[in-house]
Amino acid sequence: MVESTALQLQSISKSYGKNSALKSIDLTIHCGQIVALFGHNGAGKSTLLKIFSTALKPDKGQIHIMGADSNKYPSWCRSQIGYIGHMNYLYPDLSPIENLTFFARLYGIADHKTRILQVLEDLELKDKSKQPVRNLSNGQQKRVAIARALLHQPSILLMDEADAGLDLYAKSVVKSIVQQVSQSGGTVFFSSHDPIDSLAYANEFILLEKGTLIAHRESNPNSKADLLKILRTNN
Amino acid sequence: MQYFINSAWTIFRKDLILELRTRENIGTILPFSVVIAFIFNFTFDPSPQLMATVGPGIIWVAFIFSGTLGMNRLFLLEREFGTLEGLLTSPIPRESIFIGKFLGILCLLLVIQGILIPVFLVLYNFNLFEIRFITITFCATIGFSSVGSLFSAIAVNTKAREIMLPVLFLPIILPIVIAAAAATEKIFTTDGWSNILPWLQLIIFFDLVYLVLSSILFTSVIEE
Repeated sequence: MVESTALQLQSISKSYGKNSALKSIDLTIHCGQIVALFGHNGAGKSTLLKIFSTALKPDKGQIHIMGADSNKYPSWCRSQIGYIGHMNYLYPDLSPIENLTFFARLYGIADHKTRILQVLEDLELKDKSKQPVRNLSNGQQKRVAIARALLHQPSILLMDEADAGLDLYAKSVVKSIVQQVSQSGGTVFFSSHDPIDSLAYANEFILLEKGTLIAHRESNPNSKADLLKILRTNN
Repeated sequence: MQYFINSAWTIFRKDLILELRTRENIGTILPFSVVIAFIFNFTFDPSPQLMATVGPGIIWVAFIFSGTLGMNRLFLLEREFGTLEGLLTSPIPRESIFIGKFLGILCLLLVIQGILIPVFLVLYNFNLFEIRFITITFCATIGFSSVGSLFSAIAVNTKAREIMLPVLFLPIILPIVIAAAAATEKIFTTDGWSNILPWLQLIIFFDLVYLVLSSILFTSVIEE
């Protein structure tokens, strides 16, 4: 049987000290979907994505990734996810090829040299592959971060404001990667502050407000209008 | 098991490459350690009798201070560039991150101690090139590195990390420091292994306890 649920959260709560970041979130995302996550600063978007990525443990609740309980099968669950966070997760004194080789070894990728050359070529980074990451531009560093997240061919791509601060070209690279992952059957779940641009390619969207999930809808002209109204009202 | 060893080795190797490339740690710790050795040299009259008594203390103070400085930086880079989250989202066991980091700090401290030994020979006429001292130092450094790797992971998430690490680390490591200093004093005053063997056994016991406890606690510490 093919697993149709990519990500599932059941009653997830997370607090930082006295501040409640997520309040009993229930959420199911199906395979092959591109889902955009919106919310104002402090709404809990990054916490939600970090919990999905398993970098952060929730205080309460269960997480299932491709049908598997992330508490019981943490390694397998992590191997299904590619995560791009606010930061690039790269060592600035290593070159892109050295960074990718390091992560490829951690993911146990067989024939990693071929795979690394392939992702570097896909992201047009071959000519920069031997320069230290610190010498690359912000957009080039973000592309290396995307290469790192795609290296192990994950079933699910999580992106936390991956296009923030990028120029138009780098943003178009991010968008094309999202579409490629989705076309090959993968699931993409990303947070953004740009609803107009994001809803152009997302199938669904989720709206968080003060740690509570207030909307999970299919992306269509009516729902987009509703979302924009909510976001503008709260601004 | 092979995957565990490979992951730990990959993390250790990466830290080693970064250190050889940037020399950030050794460039900071080594001058600091040599300065400590110099300060004591000007404080005491280095007569053989006095040095046999205070020498072990000087050696281990220099080793501990340089170790604390090195441990402060152990997770700093990972924190600064967010690469710790990169490690945490990879499928490797958390314990392999601990072992990789432990091997990194162990290697760094042994190199610094190896450089300090001739410094002590020149300044104090301590001949530390002998198998008993090297065994004691190696075993004690295993204990320091295991506790240091754990507390460094705790301290890196706190605002006052430079203060937090010594406050947490030094009281816990005290049994090993006392045993190592006592064994060094016996090395200065007696021949053979019989007098230092009880201290060596004590150090090895604490090494095992600290290694096991630190690797278990590291998993929960690193995920918070």
